[in-house]
Amino acid sequence: MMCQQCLERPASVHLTQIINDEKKEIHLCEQCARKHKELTFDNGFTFASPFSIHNFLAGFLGNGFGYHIQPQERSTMPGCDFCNMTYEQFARSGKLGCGHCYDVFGSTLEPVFKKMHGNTYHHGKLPQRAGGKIKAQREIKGLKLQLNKAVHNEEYERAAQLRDKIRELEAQLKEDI
Amino acid sequence: MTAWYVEHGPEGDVVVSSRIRLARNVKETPFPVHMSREQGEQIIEKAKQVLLGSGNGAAHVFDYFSMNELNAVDKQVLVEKHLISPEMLQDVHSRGVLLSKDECVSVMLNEEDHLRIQCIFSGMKLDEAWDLANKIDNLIEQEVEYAYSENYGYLTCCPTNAGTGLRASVMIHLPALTITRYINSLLNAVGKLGIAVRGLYGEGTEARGHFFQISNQVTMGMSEEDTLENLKGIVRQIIEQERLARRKLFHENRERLEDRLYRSYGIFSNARIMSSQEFMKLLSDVRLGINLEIIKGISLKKMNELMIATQPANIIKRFDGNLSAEQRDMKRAEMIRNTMDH
Ligand SMILES: [Zn+2]
Ligand SMILES: [Zn+2]
Repeated sequence: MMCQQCLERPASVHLTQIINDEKKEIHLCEQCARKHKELTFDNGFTFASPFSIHNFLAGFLGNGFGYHIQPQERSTMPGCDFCNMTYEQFARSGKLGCGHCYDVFGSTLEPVFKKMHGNTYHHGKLPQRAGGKIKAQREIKGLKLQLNKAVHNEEYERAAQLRDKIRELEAQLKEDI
Repeated sequence: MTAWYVEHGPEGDVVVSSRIRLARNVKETPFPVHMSREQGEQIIEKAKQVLLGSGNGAAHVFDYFSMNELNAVDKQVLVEKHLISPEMLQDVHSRGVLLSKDECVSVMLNEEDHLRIQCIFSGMKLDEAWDLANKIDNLIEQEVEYAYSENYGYLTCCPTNAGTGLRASVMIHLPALTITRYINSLLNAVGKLGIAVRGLYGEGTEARGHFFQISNQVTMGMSEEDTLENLKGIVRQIIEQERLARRKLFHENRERLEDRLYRSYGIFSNARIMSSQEFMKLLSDVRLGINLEIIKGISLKKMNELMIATQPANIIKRFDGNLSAEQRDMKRAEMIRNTMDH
């Protein structure tokens, strides 16, 4: 087997990664493997960083996964005003330049999130600063679900209680802003 | 707390270390690739302010190292100890690390993200590592407003980290599963569960040193606690499988196994020149021998220490010289002999 990098020397370093059911094998010669910045070979047990997941991501953005965006069209896609990242740069690197990029490229990112995480919403830790507002919004969302259920089950007393609670939280949110 | 590599932690017969990494960025500042030097320095100042001040509440004392000021050997030593990523070696402005004196916590500044909070412990200690990383995260947040969106959670340079920004990983030693070739079906099964397994393969089919890294891939839509429970559940099963395979090997192939392990032990304890690749291969056998009580009188703790101490930059640092690869291979063999003698 030949080295995938230089296509010259025989591959002697074989790397296997299994990520989300996708098995990827990389075959390199010792020289190319050494050059690979993510693999410090002398060091015996440094693992391949998730470098291939970036390539993988860039790969399917580049192919316009779910969006079928042709390379020539990409140059006309809007970029980020805050950090000056263009769509082209984003599609090539699979990385973002700043927090605002998430708003700018959100519609392209969501199918990627879906495929990668099976989800497009964060369900974890809330920062303490912005957290208060988000916590209240999450609570309101949860209460609304309960309210629908209560109405559906004809539990009107409970529904009234939930409605009051939701109004109270919404009023608080407005005050905070 | 002591550094992960000088200890032998829970489930230490299989699990070498547990690591938690949180990726965080500061609001209204471009991510490191796009930021100015001034913005980079501001982030470093903020982080230093939080963690270098007395009474930081983290119960860990930190030192700051600027990447520009550290020499090449010192940087490589940190990489070998898994305290900074190889990415940090690149010559980029405004990079540094806040390192706790006990080497359990490292906060990388301006790597791919503004902040990468990492906690690493010996053995199976994901919960402890998460508790500590979470605490440090809260401390930093008192001074810094994070880039965060209600939908996408913590915003990171690479969208594969967005959401929790959490990467939990366990370094695990699976010699018996590798020797019995159960490893492939196991790894394939695990790969279906939102978990990544990485192993470094040398020539032939056996993993070099039989060490693997198992980590979560999903960072969005799952809470930190659920992510850890999921990973822990899978690691627990792998640990059981490995122990079962070790017992099976021992009972069904005792002579062959003993022959192999004693041969490795013999070379390990007596060689005069040893490359780091050969070291990892033999270390794997010696560890297995210690776990099966075939090799006696030497502790796993010593093996963990040796694994780091014999890395190239660690050798150069210890012997304070400009050693060639061959001289290092001789030093490595000498260090192993000294350890095995006692
Ligand atoms: Zn090559
Ligand atoms: Zn941007």
